[in-house]
Amino acid sequence: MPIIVKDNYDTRGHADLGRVALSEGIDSPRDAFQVRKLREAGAIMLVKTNMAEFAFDPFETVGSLLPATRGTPTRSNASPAGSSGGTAAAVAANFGAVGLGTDTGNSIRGPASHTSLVGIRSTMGLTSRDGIVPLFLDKDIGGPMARTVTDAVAIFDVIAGYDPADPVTAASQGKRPDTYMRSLVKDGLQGVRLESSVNSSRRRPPIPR
Amino acid sequence: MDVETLRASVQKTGRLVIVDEAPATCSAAAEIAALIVEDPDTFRALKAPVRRVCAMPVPVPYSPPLEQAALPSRDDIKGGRPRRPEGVRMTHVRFGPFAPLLVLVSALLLVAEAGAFQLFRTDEATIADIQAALKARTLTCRALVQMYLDRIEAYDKKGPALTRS
Repeated sequence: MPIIVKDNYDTRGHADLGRVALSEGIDSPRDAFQVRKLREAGAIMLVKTNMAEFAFDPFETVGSLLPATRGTPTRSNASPAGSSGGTAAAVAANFGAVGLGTDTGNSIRGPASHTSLVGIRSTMGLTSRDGIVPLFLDKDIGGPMARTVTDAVAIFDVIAGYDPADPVTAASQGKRPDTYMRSLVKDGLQGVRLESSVNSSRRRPPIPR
Repeated sequence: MDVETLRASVQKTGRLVIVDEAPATCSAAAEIAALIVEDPDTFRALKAPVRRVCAMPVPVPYSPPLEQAALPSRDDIKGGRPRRPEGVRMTHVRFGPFAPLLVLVSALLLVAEAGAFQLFRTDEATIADIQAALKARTLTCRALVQMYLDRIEAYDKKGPALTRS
């Protein structure tokens, strides 16, 4: 399964960690826990994607290593949001089967919503932060970005789990189901009431040209 | 093509209506009809003639209203009737001295089309789609990765250029 990986995941054989000029040319010596799990499941790490520098921008995907991800596959002049905008645009454009993103403050959720994808920002402790360039350790979550809910859950099943290298994952031991696939129930949301507040966040700033 | 399923269905219902957005002559619909009546058991199971509900025998028009007029409609499918231009009586098509050549070209097109049914498309392909194609050996890992790399090459920095400064 060809996977698209956000640049802040340690991935053997791929350079440019964190999309920061500082790290240009540095090769990853090892795989992040999630990347290793996916490789063990037979996945191929196809490419690494653009991201906001240090994953620090929820609005745009621009780093000090140019060029930037400036469009979404459906709107060439719209921001894919950030910071996982590179993975979002790539998965939405069918550059690979599924992708990995990270979310500290909306960085999976924002880009997924801008590109009509399914992203999972899980509860802290379900997935390991090992090998992901830290931003705020108490909020950093890595997770799947996919074109269907089933695909996102299939990837989440592989990457969720206990990792001795990340002590926070110990809390999830014994509390995780063997698979989340059983939660995929057709019409499972029937009767559930969802609310959203459309004006709760400030306006997205215009995209600089 | 899954001929077994087609034949099993006709043996069960005794009827066959083939709906296709292409004109009927030398079409996939024609091929399906032939596959059904060529098999003696399926032929005997038929309770009514095979019907083809296809587009009008014209190049499919560009204008949306004309296109709608040319393609088979919901009512056509209900009535099991082919699409014909109003007030025009169908005559037999005369191919003339080029007939063998035309038949050959049509046969080649059919083969090409049958091949296309098998072709894997990366667009919106899910993990399950990919796994099914790999299992059915209509796709290899190497071919899959190359298809994605070709797509990245075509659209990342070229064309709509998702990545640019």
